[in-house]
Amino acid sequence: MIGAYPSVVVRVVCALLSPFILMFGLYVVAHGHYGPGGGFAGGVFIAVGAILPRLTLPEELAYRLVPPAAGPLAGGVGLLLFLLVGTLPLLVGGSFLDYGAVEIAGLEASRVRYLGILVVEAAVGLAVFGAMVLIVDVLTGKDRP
Amino acid sequence: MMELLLDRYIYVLVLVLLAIGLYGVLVKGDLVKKVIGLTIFSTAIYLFFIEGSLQEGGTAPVLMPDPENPGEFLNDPLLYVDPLPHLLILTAIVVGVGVVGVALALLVRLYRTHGTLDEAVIADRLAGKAPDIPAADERRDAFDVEDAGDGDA
Amino acid sequence: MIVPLDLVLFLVLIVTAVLALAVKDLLAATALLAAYSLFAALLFAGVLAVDVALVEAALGAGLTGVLFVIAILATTRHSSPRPDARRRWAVLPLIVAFLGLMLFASTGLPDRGDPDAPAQRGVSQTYLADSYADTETPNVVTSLLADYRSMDTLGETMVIVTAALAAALVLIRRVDDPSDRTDDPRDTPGGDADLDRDLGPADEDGYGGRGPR
Repeated sequence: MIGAYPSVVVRVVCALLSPFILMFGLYVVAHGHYGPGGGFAGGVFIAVGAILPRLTLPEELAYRLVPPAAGPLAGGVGLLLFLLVGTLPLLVGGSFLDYGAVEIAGLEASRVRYLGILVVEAAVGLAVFGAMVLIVDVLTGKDRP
Repeated sequence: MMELLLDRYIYVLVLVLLAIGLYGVLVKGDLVKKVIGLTIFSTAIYLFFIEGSLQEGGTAPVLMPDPENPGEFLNDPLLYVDPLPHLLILTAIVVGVGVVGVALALLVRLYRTHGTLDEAVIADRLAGKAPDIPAADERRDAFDVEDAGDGDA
Repeated sequence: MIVPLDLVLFLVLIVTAVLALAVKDLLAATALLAAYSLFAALLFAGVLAVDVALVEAALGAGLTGVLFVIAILATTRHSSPRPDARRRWAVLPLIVAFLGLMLFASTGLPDRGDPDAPAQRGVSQTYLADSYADTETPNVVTSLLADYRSMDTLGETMVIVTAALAAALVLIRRVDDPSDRTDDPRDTPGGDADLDRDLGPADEDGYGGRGPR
């Protein structure tokens, strides 16, 4: 039921579309400071870019593009990254998740917060990507190769 | 009552959506339909929150550049709608999809065990009232026949 | 926002919601649900919640539909529950009571778009005024999400990763038991036994552990 779709048009269009969706997802994650977007929306777009090949291309090909292990791995890494960024200010005497407390030479506190937001958005994006890919993988019953 | 309908029709419409979702969750016998009702209900709640964030004369909560001082941004709160409900609902939507994922996983698991998604049948089985589940291959044939029968309906 | 457009979108929402619950074909119901989410996303964009509209369009209209379609393909497409008229008549008064209570409560709510509503006069003022000075981020929703209220976001991230793991635990099958690959628990004597261990003794039916009913 899930796997190579019988119509060649659908297969080709989805294969062509997938990298652009991935690219757009990365753009949305990185562009969260200046417009709508951010980790949650971007993570979903990246996940869709990874799920589309699973629904249309032959299994081996789709799993070579994004292996099934990517789901739990990305989810865990994203959450850990978030926790690490949160813990960093604790080490220099600030409070949890207060990125401005970290002093980086040549950067103002607001700039450090700006970078902290970027890292947190990336972490959230990773976690959302991993969670969505994992849910789709277990629902299709292809959670192990 | 008329005043409510004329000035606050948004609240009434959101309430209608809430009632539809509630009806789906409580009355529908098919478990997938119940999850659909749950989604309708939660989306109605999101709408209610977001409608509450609206502020006359405000624009989207992305700060606008100050035309007089390049590099600065206008930060008068009256110029923008309230960003806080946006944040709350943004995260709620993502969590709602997580909930739907877990619910659907449970449904697939139930179907593997019981061969049906009819709530009443499953409840009867769990209470020991319904007959034994038919053997695996028999059961699959029975469902194929049923599917073929319903297919053209 | 143009008021009639608002009204029309809401009416379309109500129609799609009713249809999504009424149709027998579950794939059609999923398509209608995706349409419902898409129109909700339009409404979000209409009241200037651009971030929410983006997430709702991607998640509600896109990924939720994909999840439903996958689950329906793995189970059954036809919704054929026993009609239960008794329950409908028992539940309708409940829903009417709920509606009446909420209507009564909504009379105390401020008018739509009122700049003097209590919700508008709260901490959001500070966020809007200080966001750029504190974080150099023009999009206030992002600075709220990842800085002012990042503890909230941390919790939500944990919730969705946990949800994905829970879904995996519900559905995952054992690697070392090839017979467990089949979809039926009856011919997997060892397969489901350890899943049922916490629920109670496995019975000869294979789906052991009587439920709470």
